[in-house]
Amino acid sequence: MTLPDSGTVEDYSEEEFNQLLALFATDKGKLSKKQQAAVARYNFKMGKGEKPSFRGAAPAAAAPAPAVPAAPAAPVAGGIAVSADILALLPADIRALAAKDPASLSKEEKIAIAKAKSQAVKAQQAAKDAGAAAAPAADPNAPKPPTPEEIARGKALAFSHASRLNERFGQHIDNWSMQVHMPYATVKTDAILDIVRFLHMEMGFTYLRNLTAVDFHPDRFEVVYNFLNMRDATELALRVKLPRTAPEGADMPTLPSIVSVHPGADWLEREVFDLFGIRFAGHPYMRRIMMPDDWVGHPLRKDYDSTKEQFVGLGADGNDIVSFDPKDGW
Amino acid sequence: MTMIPHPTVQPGTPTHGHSNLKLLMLNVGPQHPATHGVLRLKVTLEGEVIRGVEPVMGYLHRGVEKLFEDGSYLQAIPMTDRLDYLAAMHNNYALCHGVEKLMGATIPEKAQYIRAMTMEVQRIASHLLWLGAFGLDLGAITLFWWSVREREGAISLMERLSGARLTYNWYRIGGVKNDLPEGWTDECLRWVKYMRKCLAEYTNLFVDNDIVRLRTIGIAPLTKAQAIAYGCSGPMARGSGVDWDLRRDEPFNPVYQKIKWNVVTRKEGDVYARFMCRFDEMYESLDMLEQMIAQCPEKGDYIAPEIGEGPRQHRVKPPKGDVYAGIEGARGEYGVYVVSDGTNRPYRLKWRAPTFSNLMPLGEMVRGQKIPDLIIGLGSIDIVLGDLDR
Repeated sequence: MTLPDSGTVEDYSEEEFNQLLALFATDKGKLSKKQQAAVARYNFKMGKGEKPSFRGAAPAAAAPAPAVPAAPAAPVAGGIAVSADILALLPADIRALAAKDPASLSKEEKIAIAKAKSQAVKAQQAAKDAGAAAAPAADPNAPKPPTPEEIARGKALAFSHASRLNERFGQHIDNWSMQVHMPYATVKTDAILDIVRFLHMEMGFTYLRNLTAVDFHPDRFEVVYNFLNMRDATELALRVKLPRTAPEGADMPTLPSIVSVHPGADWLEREVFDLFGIRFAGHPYMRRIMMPDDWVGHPLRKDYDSTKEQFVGLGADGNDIVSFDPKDGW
Repeated sequence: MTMIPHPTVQPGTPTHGHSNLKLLMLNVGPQHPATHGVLRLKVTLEGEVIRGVEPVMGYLHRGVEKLFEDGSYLQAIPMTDRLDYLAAMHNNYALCHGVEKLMGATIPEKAQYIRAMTMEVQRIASHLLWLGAFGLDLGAITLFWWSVREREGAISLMERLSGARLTYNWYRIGGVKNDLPEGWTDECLRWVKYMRKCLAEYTNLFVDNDIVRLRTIGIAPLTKAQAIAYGCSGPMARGSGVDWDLRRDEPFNPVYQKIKWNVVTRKEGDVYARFMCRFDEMYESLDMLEQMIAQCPEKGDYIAPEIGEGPRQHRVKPPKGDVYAGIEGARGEYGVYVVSDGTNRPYRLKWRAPTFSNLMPLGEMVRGQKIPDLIIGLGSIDIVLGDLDR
């Protein structure tokens, strides 16, 4: 299919544009300047939270998406008003209490929430003061270990990033936890690409440190993303939970690929596909990377039978052949 | 979404330009000295001009991540040696750092110094071998003999510590295996002094060499944006102007905050910039070693007493949870993603290999250039196939 040579997103159908994104991630040089501009416009819009309309798609007027999400009112936890960034600082058990209906809480629980809130507010204020005090005094040439205040400030920064993401994508985030040192969000499968794009375009998480999967046999797969913001040296981790069984009409569990935003996810996703059997929809070249193409099974799954040996030999066409018979091997 | 074919141009198709050359697919590797191991490059050529490169890997895939799951954390340490076998100490460190981060362990001060010192000796050893191999890629063989000769000093320093010359298996969770042997720091200082002299010789022979400059400047460029987008790290990213070094920006070892040193960055992003980054890093490492030896406490624990050594290492049980931790090694960010289920075996241990991410932009770096540029472009990435394939 030939792609139209145009700089406006509206000139593409959705299918064409998906192809364009895939090409952009892998072989940018092939695209014309206009086509590259279209991708940039698209990313800009998506980062702002607007849905671009494609050629042939239903007019957007039917379901007008608000360009800028309305400023969320301060969430009310157990009858006590708590702003979103403070809410993110609260310990997990208190957050769970805060999410409940205020009427169902006992007096003690309400007191616990209030106490935790006041502690968090104090801690945040202290971190802010320390940050303000540390900034002018810092001498870049004097080597010194990070002070506790600096560490606290780094944490406060990470939490402010987390609460910003929570404000924007709260409905797509199942829960927040900690990966020892950094905020860790469990997000819904369908929203992962939008969230990653938002993190990349608006919040400066441009560096993908790690992408991998974990097999929690027999419950679920988890795909984990670690992002890094090089500007303020903060980290954020995302996690997607997937059922271990393939959905109807697919051969393996599937989630959207993030190659269109992070080209560096290319091989990492291929590796997960190879070793776990998780398919990334929208990846331009989803094939095995470590194992031979015909290998049976996905080795890093917990139910993979590693006692069953497989042998790799050379086929007549020069490609690898995989067989269970040792005679076919090298 | 419909699948589209890989962007690498298929061989046999006529090219679009004015040239009447047909595209040709050339295999470089898997057994070829220029690929530094068993890497295969499917190169699409139009005449002598490279139109696309597709690295094919997996020839050295040993399934380490699966093997990790079968043993305790202690048993994983010797396996990490075999990943990036030119910087085994850094691999050890990455694993131990990940487990310690999950446990929230505090490392004694002396252990931190010992770790930082061995880390820098290992970095120089790795960069020296890279330097020699890079000379070979360019067609210069003298440098290889010289740099391997000097590397011998670093290797014997680490042999005195661990008894091994390549795969040290020397770090332990919470510290290192044994204290520094008597006189090690003096020997190290002598070697540092000797290395400075050698680096000056290299500068005369190689760095200031006109042929080297002509061959490397402007070749295989990588922009800063590309380096970040592909997740490049280490000298590969710093050669493109990404001012990021985990030793400074994510202090995994407090010793690096106590000494004076600089992060070496270059703006150009070509082979020469990456080359000079590594070369200047060796000077920085020598400076660091001198300061660390001066500061290193005489007495102290070399391993955290609450974790213990010997068989107690087998019983290390990090709490339930998962963490990603990275350290700045010779090739970039060596990272581990550890998932613990509360037992003494890792439930899952993912290895973030610097070579894996650094090799990804190779196709973009050499597109439109010639085959010799591909070879030195690949050489400037400093790949280690054990690290790439795991």
